[in-house]
Amino acid sequence: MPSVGRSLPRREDRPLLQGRGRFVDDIDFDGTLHARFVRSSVAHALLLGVDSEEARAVTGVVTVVDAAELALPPLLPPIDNPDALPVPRPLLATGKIRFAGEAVAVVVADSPYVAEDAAELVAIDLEALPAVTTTAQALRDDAPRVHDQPTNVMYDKRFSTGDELPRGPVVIHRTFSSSRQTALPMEPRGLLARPHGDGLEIWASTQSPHMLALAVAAGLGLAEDQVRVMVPDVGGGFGLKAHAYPEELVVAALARRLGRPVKWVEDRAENLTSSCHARGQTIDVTVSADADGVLTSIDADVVVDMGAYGVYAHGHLLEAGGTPSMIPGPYRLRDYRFRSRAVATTKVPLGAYRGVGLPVATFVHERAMDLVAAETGVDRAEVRRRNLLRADELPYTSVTGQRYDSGDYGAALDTALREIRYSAFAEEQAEALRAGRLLGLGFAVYVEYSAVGSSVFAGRGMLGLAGYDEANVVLGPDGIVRVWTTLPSAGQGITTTFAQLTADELSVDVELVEVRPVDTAVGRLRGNGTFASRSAVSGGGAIRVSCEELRRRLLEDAADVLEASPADLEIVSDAVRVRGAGTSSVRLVDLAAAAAPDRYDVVRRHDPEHPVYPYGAHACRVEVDPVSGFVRILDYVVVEDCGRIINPRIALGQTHGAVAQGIAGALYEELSYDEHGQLQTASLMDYLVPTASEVPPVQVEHMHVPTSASLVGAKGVGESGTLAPGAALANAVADALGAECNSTPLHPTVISDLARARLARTAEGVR
Amino acid sequence: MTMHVDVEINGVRHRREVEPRTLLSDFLRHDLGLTGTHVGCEHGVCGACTVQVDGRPVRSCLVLAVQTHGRSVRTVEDLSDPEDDVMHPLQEAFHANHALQCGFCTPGILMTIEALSADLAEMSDAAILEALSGNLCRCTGYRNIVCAIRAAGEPGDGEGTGSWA
Ligand code: FES
Ligand code: FES
Repeated sequence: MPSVGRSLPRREDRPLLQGRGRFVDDIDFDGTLHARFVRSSVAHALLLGVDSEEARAVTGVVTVVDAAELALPPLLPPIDNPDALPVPRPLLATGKIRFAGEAVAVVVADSPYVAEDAAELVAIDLEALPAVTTTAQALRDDAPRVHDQPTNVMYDKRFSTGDELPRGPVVIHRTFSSSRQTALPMEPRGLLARPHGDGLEIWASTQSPHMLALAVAAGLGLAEDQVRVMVPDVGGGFGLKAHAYPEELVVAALARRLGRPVKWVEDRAENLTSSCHARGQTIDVTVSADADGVLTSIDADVVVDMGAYGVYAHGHLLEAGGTPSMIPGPYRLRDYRFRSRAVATTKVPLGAYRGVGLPVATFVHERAMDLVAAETGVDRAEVRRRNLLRADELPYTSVTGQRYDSGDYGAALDTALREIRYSAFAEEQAEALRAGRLLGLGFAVYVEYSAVGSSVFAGRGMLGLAGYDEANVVLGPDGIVRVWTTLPSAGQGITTTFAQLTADELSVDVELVEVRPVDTAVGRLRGNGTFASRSAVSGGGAIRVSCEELRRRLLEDAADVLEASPADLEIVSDAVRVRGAGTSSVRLVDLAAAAAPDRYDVVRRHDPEHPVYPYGAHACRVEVDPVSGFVRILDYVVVEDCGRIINPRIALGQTHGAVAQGIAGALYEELSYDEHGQLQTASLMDYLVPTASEVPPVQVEHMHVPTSASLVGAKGVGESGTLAPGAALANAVADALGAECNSTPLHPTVISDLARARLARTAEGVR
Repeated sequence: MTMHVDVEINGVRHRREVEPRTLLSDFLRHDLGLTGTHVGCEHGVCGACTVQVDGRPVRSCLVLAVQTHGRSVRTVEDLSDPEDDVMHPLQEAFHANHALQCGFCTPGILMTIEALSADLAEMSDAAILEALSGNLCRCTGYRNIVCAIRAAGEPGDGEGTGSWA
């Protein structure tokens, strides 16, 4: 029986449920030392000196290291893009401090308590400089420069389909914005490094172990095979752990220099003030349409608040590159112009968070659609239908060069509208309003790229991202098929889904397949790691091509044993047999026992030639409380096409989680700074992660239009749920209030003002 | 300076000398190797570190180890044995309902809910949400967690699939 398509129970669950998971901080070796970073409390300053004398005197402190003593080169993301300036990031602040939370020194002690005590005693001598806390401020001519450059604009890309864009007759000009948010995995970052021979063994809570291994080797001047990275259980990543961070290289260097294991696990305050943030953008948009609501052009000015640095190896182009490329969304658009800038500020560096620039792009095109509808008087569903690419127009290369592979965008929208009962809503809304209740309905259509391959990364100049992934599939003498890949599991269930894929590719029982944790020493694999919803597509592809080769070898060898042609053989559960011939078969375990070592040890690579494009539509009904400004979600519907589904229950869980994060970004979460560059939301008391009460039940409908762009048929499901909630909720609240909502999160104070105004208008009989 | 602590943990009596400032979470994890209890914030918000002290759910990052002197502490490791074929009904329900992804928040949620489990069958959805209000989960969107808790309250071993209106 094929195992793909079945909701097999997860293999990862039992140890995690019984408290036998093994996360980085659960691993301990005798003599492990503990690192604690000394971080700047000031956002922008000249760093004059670090005095660690008092800290060194504390019993239990082994060493205190600052940049001078560390004496290692900065992390410089390998970016080759004519529109980008280089942004080196020192491992420990050197000469200058560029954000509050930046690591200035590190204390190593024999216990975390002592390290933390001693870190308090390290004195930082600095001369404060004015903070740069908004992009508007950073763009001013007289703004302080964050880097040693004549400008704070570290990436400036212009794109245009022509000198003159067609304009009008309907012209809408708006500014949209998204506050900073962060991935906030429940397990913060952490790394344990142990000297081993002439190199290092590292256990890291990371999504990109192979990239981390290369970064550590390069940063410390080691050969690639001197650094081994292993990934234990990872307590969530969502993009935040897709990067190699300065702290990780510092801890690795310390373990080598001290000749002892060194562990670093950040606390939540560090997580909020030094792990990457995301989504800080302001977009000025001019949308033109004809009188029927058909788009004629879009002109967008995207400004991304990149913070003080980029991230390794993605650099500072993630959102500034991604958002404008997808602002056209699932719509037919030929005339498009954008300028996109990544602007340095003295804030935490911007990096990846589930969906990266695409929730913002979706917000822009879906708010724009509602505004075009309002302006032209065309129904907002109908406006979208007139502009959506039809199924028969796909594959379609968008104006920015995105090759939308397959889908039926209109069907996704229509299903969502049916499930949310759109046609009945206007009357319900009017009736509720007469009773003083504010109901709103909103929806959003989205398309996403996922599983980006090496050619696309190279085209963007992101040379440090592999783009491909590899799998090592090994049939052992015990008859067990073991699988290693370059994609660690951080909760997505790939220990289970990869076993399902492998089982079906080889036609063996799924019980015979074991997916192993990522270990860069096994099989000498190289690859990207898991981000941008790529595991199923890219990892699945690597598993498929590896299994094809393993199957070929098995059939070839079985052909000798069975004196048959390989073409007449098939693998069934645990043996190779002659098709239709009943008894003539040889067991895999016997083939393995007789084979030369390495015969059934296959490594293959998959490098997706084109990204794939999951898409869908979200729709919701809300009620706004005019007193508190609280938005209650009454119904939430998701229609999505994530391609062929490997494990329905796991895919659904991914969507639930992604939608919850999308809702959080629309209504609750915001990293806010004061004018001195101090993060005002540096604890979970202030940064509002939704609890069970804030996340409504979500109805999920799947659709499936096959794609040829994915080897295994999957399109990726990790991120898409985050794309549309911001837009759908803003549209719903705008509908309830009869007012515009053009920035996220939607602040209760603003909403309650608008809500009261709406009720006042109603009372006066104005609609 | 150290202080003496005499505490029963998962049915076993431990007598240790600890620094008075040692958090219960660190004592459990690093002194006793009970790493099933996780630390997600160390400031009392996320609930990942929840254990039971004298049967009541307690955030072990907000309690000093010495404060458990003379008391009885229960951690996730006590819910079932690795050798058991069938886990605790709540654990089985979490498994059957895909109520965990990364599993980092899970032990804290199990220990929170297990402390109430006598009344699970009678709990309304609203009461379950209320019971969960001190536990953050970043992966699941909570829905399957609520379903699992529902299922655990139903007759059987928790293998059923709970629903949530
Ligand atoms: S770690 Fe104790 S509540 Fe978060
Ligand atoms: S399962 Fe990952 S935080 Fe809950």
